[in-house]
Amino acid sequence: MSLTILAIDDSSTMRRLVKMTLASCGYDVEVAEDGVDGLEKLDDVRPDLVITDINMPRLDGFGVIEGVRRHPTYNKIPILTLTTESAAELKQRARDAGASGWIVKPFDKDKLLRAIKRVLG
Amino acid sequence: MSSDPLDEIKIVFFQECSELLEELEDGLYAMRDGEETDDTVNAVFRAVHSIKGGAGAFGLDVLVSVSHQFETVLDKVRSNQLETDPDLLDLFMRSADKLQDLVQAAKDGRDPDASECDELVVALKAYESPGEAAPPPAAPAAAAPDENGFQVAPLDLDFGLDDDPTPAAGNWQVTFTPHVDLYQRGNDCCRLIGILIEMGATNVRLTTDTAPIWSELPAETPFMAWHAELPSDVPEADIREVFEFVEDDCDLKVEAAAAQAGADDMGFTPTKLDILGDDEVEFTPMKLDIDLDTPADTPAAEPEIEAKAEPEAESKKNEKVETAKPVAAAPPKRVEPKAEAKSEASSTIRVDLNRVDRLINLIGELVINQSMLAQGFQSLSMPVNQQLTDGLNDLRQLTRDIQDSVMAIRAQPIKPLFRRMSRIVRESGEATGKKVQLVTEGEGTEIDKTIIERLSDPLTHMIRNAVDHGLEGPEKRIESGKEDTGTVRLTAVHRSGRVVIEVADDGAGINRKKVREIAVEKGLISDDAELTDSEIDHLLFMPGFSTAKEVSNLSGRGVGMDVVKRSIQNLGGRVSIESEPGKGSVFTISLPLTLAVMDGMIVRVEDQLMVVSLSEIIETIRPSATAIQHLTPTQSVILVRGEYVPVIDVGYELGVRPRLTDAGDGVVLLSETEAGERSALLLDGILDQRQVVIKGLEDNYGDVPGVAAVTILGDGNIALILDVDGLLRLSEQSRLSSAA
Repeated sequence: MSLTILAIDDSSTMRRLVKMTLASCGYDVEVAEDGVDGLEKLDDVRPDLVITDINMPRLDGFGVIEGVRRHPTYNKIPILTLTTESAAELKQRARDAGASGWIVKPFDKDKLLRAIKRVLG
Repeated sequence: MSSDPLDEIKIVFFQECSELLEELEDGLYAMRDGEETDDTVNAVFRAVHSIKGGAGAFGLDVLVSVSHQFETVLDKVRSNQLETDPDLLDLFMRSADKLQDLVQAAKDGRDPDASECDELVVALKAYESPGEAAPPPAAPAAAAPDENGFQVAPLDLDFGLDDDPTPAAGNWQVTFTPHVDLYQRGNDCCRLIGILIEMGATNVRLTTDTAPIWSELPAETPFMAWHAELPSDVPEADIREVFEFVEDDCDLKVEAAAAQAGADDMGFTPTKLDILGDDEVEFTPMKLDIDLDTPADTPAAEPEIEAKAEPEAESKKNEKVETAKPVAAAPPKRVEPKAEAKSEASSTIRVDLNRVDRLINLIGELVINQSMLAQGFQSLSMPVNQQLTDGLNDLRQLTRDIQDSVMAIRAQPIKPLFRRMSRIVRESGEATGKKVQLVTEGEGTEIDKTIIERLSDPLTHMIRNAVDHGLEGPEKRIESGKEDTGTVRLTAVHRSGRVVIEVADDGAGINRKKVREIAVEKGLISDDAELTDSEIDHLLFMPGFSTAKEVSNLSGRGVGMDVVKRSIQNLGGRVSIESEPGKGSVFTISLPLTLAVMDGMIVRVEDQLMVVSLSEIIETIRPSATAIQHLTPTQSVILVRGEYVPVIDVGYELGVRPRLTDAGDGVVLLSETEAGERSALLLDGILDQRQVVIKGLEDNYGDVPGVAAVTILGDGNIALILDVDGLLRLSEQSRLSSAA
């Protein structure tokens, strides 16, 4: 059974890029348009990994991380943030919220897969 | 990545960009107008941020570097470290303009014009607090492993590594001691060690010597240290990259083993582990593989064991739960107030324009079909059947409703066009050294998408003219008792089934004396021509007229107002001028709501059916035989309520028949241009009034003078749609040529 990844990003360009890249590597990828959408989809998608953007309307990536970490079922799954910032401060905030790791945009396939491997095996 | 799906995503990216750029402009305008809220700043930030993200993915380096710097400064504003002022907002506007240019360049596959970009980036950089160097733009090439380079905290714990077997000289010795936080962030040692093994790690061991005795063991704390040896040819950075995410949640030591004797000894001496009685657990790759398939269980995941194990651990756990609780109550609060936004967002769909156009074509066919039915029914001369009549009427009403609904899909608010004009105003102001502000009204007015697109060029020209010729320089304005900043007002409003757009300036107004002189000089009018003020103003629209003494670098681009007028006419629109000396000028454009259908009057000339747009007809007159007076053989007028109006014999002008000698045989449609210029169209008869579908002629016949388009009538016949303005010009030409 292939692993399922929930990718949350308000940019449809990014959603498509992530989906295309990961699907070509055999992952099942579901997408959500923002934090609220993402958290709502948790129970349906049942992800093994969440990849989330940070800057999003309605509920940002930090909110997503907190939400997932409080979820009764999925509180232990790995979460990667997808960010254009390599700023330490942002990473720290994401870590404090409970993120497992981060992917810096722009990413290439290798970079993405390496990061996923680290948290998903 | 294969190129095809990527190209598709690129198209999505450009679509997204245009939306983001619009949001960006909206936000910046709101900020300029003093409506700066956290939400606006956030929206502006996000827009730039998303553009940058996508640009990076497609290797658009220049776009990335400008948006990056833009974003950095916006972030300062967002975090209240920087206050906006007019200068900064102006810089933001210019940056937004530049992003737009760069996106357009990328879309067209052009190389971006990097020159101004550097200047902008420098200007933006100046707003960063001094001393704080900007992080380099996240160029795609920067995907080097050290991008997220980190310093590992020195490991000061002694894991009894002295007892370790001696590794091969130069091989990497990795020691990895996870903290409890590592598990809480959803990371798992097994996966990391698994990666090390794939990279060629040997001699992987787990030691637990720091663990206290069982009765004192806090269940949540992993008292483990992993050891692994990696070949010396694996770069250190690669090893460290594996632990990138957990660097702060573990102690990590990567060091090269010193050259020593006995380097080939791969065995190890087990150290004593008190409780488990197990000395050390050796992990073979095979065993790890099995582990990797199990879910990410962490030591912290077993509350029962932990409670039994140690009361201390329980209290610790409780503490954790308590601190977590208030946070746990938070998410519904954060989410609920914005639930409305969700339904709003999901109530729009993106549709390919071709599909809408196909629908519009089909509706056009339906309109034709409906009128064919109605006509067919009439010609049957059956006894009146009320049910059938009602049914046909309902069908007509429904067809019209469907048509209106479909047209509404194509209709878009004029706002983006107006926003584009604000840029033109800004640039024109800069180029001429005039202070200008743009005021827009009726941005929400909806109009057909194609009309909006084709309106861009003429409107740009008119705005440039307004700034360049209309407005005075600041000194002159002050002299005339005005504010030094000139105002260009752009207004859109729906008026009787049309859209009226006004471009108004509060400048000096049209210098009629000069206009007249130039027109005489260029031979457009005769020296002694008697012209009203309005007629003089409208000379500006004559081909070959240009008031600028020398070609300025702005409006003088070889395009006169006559071109503006023609392109608006091609849209079925009209344009006129009103000007008041010292107060300014108003250019008014009146446009149809749609290019696809119109209400027309079906008229007859000889055996030909023709259509005149209802919006162009003021009055229909059945003239008496003597009402039309012939001034010359080629020129005649009709007296309408005390005013002589030139008569255009449509049949003659279009070459359908010779001139009508007896006016009593015909009918006259009185028509008026925007400028108030009246003309009387002489036709042979009026049939009825109905909605017609406009079919362009340009594709097949090019520009036919006097004919705007054609339509298909219910009986399948084709009727010409008349271009009244074109007819007027035709008749003037024929008059002039016959006079000559």
